[in-house]
Amino acid sequence: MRPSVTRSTFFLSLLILTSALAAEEDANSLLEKGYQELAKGSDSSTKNALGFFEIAAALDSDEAAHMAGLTYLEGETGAVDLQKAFDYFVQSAENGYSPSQNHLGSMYQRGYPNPATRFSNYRRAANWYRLAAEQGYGPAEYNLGNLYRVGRGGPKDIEESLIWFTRAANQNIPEARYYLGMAYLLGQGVFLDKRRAYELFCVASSQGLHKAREVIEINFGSVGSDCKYGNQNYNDQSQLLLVVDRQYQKPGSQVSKITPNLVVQNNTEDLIFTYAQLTVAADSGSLAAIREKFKLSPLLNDNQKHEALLLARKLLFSEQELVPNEI
Amino acid sequence: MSLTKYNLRNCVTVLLISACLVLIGCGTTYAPRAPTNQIIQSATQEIRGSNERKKSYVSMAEAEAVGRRILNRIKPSASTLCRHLGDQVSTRCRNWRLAINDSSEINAASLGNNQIAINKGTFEYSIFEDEIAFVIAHELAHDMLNHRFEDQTNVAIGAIIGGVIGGVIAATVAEAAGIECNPQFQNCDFLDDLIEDSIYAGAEIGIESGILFYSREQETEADLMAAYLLSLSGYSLIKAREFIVNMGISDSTRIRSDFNDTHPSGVERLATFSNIIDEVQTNLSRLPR
Repeated sequence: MRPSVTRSTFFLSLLILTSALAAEEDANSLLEKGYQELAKGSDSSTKNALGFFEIAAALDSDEAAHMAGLTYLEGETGAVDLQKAFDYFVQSAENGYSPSQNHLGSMYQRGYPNPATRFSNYRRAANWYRLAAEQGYGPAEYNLGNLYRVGRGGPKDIEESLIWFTRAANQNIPEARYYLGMAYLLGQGVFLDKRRAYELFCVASSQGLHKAREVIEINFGSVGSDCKYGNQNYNDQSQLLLVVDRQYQKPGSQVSKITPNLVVQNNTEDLIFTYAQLTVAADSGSLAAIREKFKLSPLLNDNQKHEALLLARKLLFSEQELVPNEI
Repeated sequence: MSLTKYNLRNCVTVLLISACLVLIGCGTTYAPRAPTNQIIQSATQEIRGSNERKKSYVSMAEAEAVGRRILNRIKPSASTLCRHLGDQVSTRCRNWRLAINDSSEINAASLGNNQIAINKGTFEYSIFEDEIAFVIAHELAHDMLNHRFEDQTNVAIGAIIGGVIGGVIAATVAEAAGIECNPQFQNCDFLDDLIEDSIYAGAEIGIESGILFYSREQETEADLMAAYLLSLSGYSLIKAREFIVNMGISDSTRIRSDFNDTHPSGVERLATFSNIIDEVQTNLSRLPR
């Protein structure tokens, strides 16, 4: 009895393995056919592609489930169907497929599955982004950094946001370069470094990120062809060594390093710009910025301070956009 | 009670002196620098260039959760600020509570019994949490600074001054018109009635001016304290300012406040808030002086 049982178990396992391999091969070939149909670009071929993706998804292909989710999300075959997109993303995200995890996070961030309210579920979004980011998926790294930057889905943590932005920037995500640039420009969480800021904005701009070009035009005047810093017409003396002062949140921690001797420029425009930068930093709770503002305050009249406030508002809101990256 | 211009004059001096004494006792307020004309012009342009916001539905449960979170974040700073202000002015430091009204209008109030009420509509028209925090902090500042009590005092003062002025005007007009009446030989009821009516009319005007005149100062003072509270609690003043911009859109035709306004005009409030932000962000002690 015993040898025959062992033999039958062996054959059964072999059968399951063979079917699984066949299914995988089927799924892969279906996925491939789906991509071929999608490449044709017509409405009918997109519908065919969706059909292939859905069959492949039923055979447990994560990539196919993701593609089916994307097709429903973007409404390529007709009306957008968020519920179906959500279901497909869940299927592949739960199997660890990082692009789906990122999209699922993005859907939670945008308020789905409860779109009647605009209150997003940032905590769930952060959880899904983290799962994808820890696998090294760039857009999720950027999205997670963005949530840390504004304190959604968890406490605001600029240093943590910069860690994720740096990883995403290394994977050529232009938005991550932009926010890293803003951190260097405003001295938030890092030493203020206009040179580094310029280079990051410049590369992001060359990747087609329009707002990076706008920031360069406001702060540096022009975009160089080689992204090498040096010919920009701003006064280098205005550099302040500010880091985000977290003393307020963490009593007893080290106070920020501040520039020992703030160089006061003769140029009023530079002074107003510096005051605006300090206003943004003070607005995020930096005691160092409050001290620097206190020093500069007597040099400006109320009208100039108001001008600096409007500039600070512009800087802050260009920095604050929270749009998930769904690459 | 029968009054004539003769015994009225004896009362006038006593009432005026007592009213002035009460007024002197209620004069302490914290005020930011007044905005320049250029800032007011800039605020006007900013408000006129802004788009009116659309309402986004928020459930009561969501509003209550957000409101509770904000109040819990503000409370420790409110206690610090209240104890600090207590050295200079009359304050009430206590355990504030928040009630959400199921109304779609943007409004909030300090109810005077350690409770602050805010309409759900305030949440529905806000983009940043910092804006809602500003509204709550503003009402909390009214309560902390006893503005409600000051209102009542001002009403009483207004009534006294208004009544006296009304009576004096009536008596003076009567005298100038050559109306004389000697109660020993004539029935002076017509003159008594005239003066008495004028006193009541004057008192009513005084009651209104007592509320209105001081309320604008109190509103600005509450904005200033709200800014300190937000800054101490880690909220963004620049984002909170967006609430004032939004409120100003419905009020954009008026640049300066009128005498009868209980609140500063939207433009004036926005312009003043510019100075308030600067004051808070250049104050090393982080508490009002």
